[in-house]
Amino acid sequence: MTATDATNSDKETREATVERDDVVLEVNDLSVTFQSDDGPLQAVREVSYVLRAGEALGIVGESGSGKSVTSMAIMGLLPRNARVTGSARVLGQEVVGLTDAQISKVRGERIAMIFQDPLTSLNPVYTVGYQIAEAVLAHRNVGRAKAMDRALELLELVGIPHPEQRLKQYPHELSGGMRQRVVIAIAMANDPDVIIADEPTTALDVTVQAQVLEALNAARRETGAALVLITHDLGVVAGNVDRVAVMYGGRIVESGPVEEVFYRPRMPYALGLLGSLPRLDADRRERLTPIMGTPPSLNAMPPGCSFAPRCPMARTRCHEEEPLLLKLDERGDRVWADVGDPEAHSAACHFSAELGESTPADLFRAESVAGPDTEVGTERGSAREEATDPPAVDGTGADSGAGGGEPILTVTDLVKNFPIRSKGLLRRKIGEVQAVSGISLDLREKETLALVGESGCGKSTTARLLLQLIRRTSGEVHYRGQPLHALTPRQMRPLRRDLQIVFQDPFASLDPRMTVADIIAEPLRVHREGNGKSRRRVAELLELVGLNPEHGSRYPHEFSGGQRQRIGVARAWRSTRGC
Amino acid sequence: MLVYTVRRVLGAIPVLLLASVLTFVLIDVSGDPLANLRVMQPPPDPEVIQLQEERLYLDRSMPERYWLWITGIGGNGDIGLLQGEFGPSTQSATYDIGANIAERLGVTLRLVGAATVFAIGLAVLTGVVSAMRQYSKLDYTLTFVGFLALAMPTFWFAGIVQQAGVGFNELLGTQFFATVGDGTYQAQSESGFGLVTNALAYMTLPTIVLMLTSFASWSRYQRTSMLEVLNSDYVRLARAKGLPNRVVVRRHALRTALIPLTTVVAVGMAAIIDGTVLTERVFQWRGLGEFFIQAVAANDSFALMAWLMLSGTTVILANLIADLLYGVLDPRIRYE
Ligand SMILES: Nc1ncnc2c1ncn2[C@@H]1O[C@H](COP(=O)(O)OP(=O)(O)OP(=O)(O)O)[C@@H](O)[C@H]1O
Ligand SMILES: [Mg+2]
Repeated sequence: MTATDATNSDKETREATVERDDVVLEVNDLSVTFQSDDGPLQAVREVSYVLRAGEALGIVGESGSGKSVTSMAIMGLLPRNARVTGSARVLGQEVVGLTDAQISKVRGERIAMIFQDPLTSLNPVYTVGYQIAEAVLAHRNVGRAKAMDRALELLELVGIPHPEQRLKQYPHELSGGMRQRVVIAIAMANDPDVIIADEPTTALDVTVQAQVLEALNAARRETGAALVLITHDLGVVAGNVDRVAVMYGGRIVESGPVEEVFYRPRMPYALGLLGSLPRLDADRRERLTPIMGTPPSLNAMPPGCSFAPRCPMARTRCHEEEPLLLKLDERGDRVWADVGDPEAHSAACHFSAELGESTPADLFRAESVAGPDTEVGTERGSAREEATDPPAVDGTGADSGAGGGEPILTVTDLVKNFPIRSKGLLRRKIGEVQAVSGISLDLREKETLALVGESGCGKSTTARLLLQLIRRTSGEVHYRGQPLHALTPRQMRPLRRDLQIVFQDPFASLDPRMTVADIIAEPLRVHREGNGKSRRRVAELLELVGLNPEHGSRYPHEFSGGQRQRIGVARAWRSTRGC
Repeated sequence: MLVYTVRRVLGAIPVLLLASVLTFVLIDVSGDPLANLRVMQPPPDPEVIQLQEERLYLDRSMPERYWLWITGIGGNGDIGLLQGEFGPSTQSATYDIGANIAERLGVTLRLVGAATVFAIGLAVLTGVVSAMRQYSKLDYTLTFVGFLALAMPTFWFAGIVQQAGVGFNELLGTQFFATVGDGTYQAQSESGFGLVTNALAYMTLPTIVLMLTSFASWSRYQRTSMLEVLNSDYVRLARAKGLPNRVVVRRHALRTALIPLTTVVAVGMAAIIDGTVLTERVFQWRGLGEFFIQAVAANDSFALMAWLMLSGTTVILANLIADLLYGVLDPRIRYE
């Protein structure tokens, strides 16, 4: 134990040594507790940060680490079962504990928010123009016509082509990327001082992500707003923010300037995050180094460091004493840093000094080798020409299992045309669009095949065709020798449990009125598995995708975005197959 | 939109035709229109029976009779839907089914209209309040009342309401509520304000009875759809814009939560029409419900057919209106 470690009592003595007059958002010891059936859940614990005018702060962290909840607490948008303590000041004004009427003057005017899922963020029954103008009119009494002019100007700013036409369109007539740009336009409508963007690009494809980030940067240039950018994507963080905060188990566990945190992480978790980032330039034979285990359950936090159970360098002290968020001084001692100091690099780890120049592989590979290989799942990149190569990525003999070389799914010349119909009484077919034109592919056991392409190029249609959710125009699909394209829906039924789909939009595909356990059990029930057996399966599946089995009784809206996606995976998963 | 409407109306014709064939056959095999006459004591003259059979076209085969009922070709001028005639009645030779239905339709429409309007209004109100105060005492109370109403048999509830009305009148010592009759006759001697109070006195109790079940199920529905919308991302974005709560609820939540209710109401129209039969019986209204009961009692096949065709058309019409309304309310749906 380092005798010079700072203690809590030092906290009061440290004084603001850094200028604070340009601070736009100051969060101090913000905590959020949800009242739930399984007792109180501490989703956010004593989060503090400071944001200066024009600055950009990135918040990264695993799914469920409390990133969204922190931001919603600042906006006052949490459901009634949430209790918020601590303070958040926007331009010096306290916003925690304001009444709805008071905080609605702050929302949109001083602090604006962009949400994760552009497909559901806009109201389907109002035009795009109306929804932007509405944001203007909420704070400025300029009249309808002026507000519409402003809406047009905003659409131009975020780079939407033909803005005059778009104004009169409804959200469903716009692509996901365009809708997200509309949401950005809404956020900048009143020149806010802070914009919080909660995973603005996660639901979008790569080409569109760049456009949306560009729109976000345009918004910052135009309004001079400071930005809080929440994301999973460390690449996005690197290019767009000045400082970054890493969250784990509801706390900030490391924070500092981007380069500092990326190149000299002082906390094993941050190091691990970097290691689980897939890199295109890296040797494909080299595996990702995942962090083993799952995040702690919020209602059963370990007494010491919350990362200790998964940390390869954890020692007795880590399991007993929760580390404070401190920086290292020149002598290697851990001392308080001013939250307002933009240069401070702090970490919540008793042993951050020892981390030195470790790479993710050094720290986490040692551990993952100890576990059986299959636990990680073996994936093999697959492109057609590669099929004859010896197992490419993973030389551990995983492919010696059943059916190694035999394709289990074969697709030849798959074509799908959608009819275009006339507007008359008879709705005659007057033309066709070709959504999928002549796709052929093979899929072998244990293979992962990625379909990559721009939005609208037919990826989802292909997936639906494979599963016979829609009928092909021509071409063949064989699954383990059976011609799927020739089966009747009834004959197809027993095969449905072998061929499952995880839908694109995690929230829209989960029935909001069913508990998560019921959602996951549904395919099991349809495919006739006993009730007690299906309950056990549900618990297993939840664990498998890294969720707490006790969460089965919750509803989808009580989960974070990433957790919902996992629910979709659990639902699709069927490993009762003989492997 | 117009094209769509025309297409839907044209599409409804074969549905109605098929339904008419089925009901015609069912009514024909389920009872003999002259059963009452045949078992009469002392037995009537065989000639009388034969005359009746000819008057009611019972001397022809069923397919012939159906054809006659539709077209009226070869009949005595008192039959043929296409000619606006509904056929002869067993109840008496002078009983005109068409005129009777028309007269009673007005009475029943009054009841159905009032019950539908109030059921929708109250259902939306309680649904919204329940959803906004989810898991509060108020929500639990409204939920309890809703389920109670759903579980209550209509005829029993109608009896209770009627008794309560009688009790209330005795308490006040005046005829505050009319507990018997539809008030058509009394209205003839009233004018102006008197008409209104007369209508209120006669309509209040039956309306309460008739709307109860529909109100209960619609309010449950409205609560769920409202809850779903309140948890949606776009309502959250509307709040994030800085709109005050009241605007968010009215403009963003309620507006979208009402859309699915249109379908539910359209489907529920069938239940309301069924409900009139019992309600009119208990309160002794001379409406279509009463007409239906009389027709059943008298084995009056053509009267029954007329009633069934009318309620079938109403239900189809209600669904068409709901679909058109859906298109107006939800821009994602476009009818070409
Ligand atoms: N309404 C709620 N009731 C109960 N628990 C909730 C509720 N909303 C969120 N939580 C829990 O709070 C924790 C933090 O959620 P949060 O949405 O902040 O995660 P996140 O870091 O944004 O994750 P992601 O990256 O997946 O979006 C999660 O464990 C989640 O299950
Ligand atoms: Mg989130």
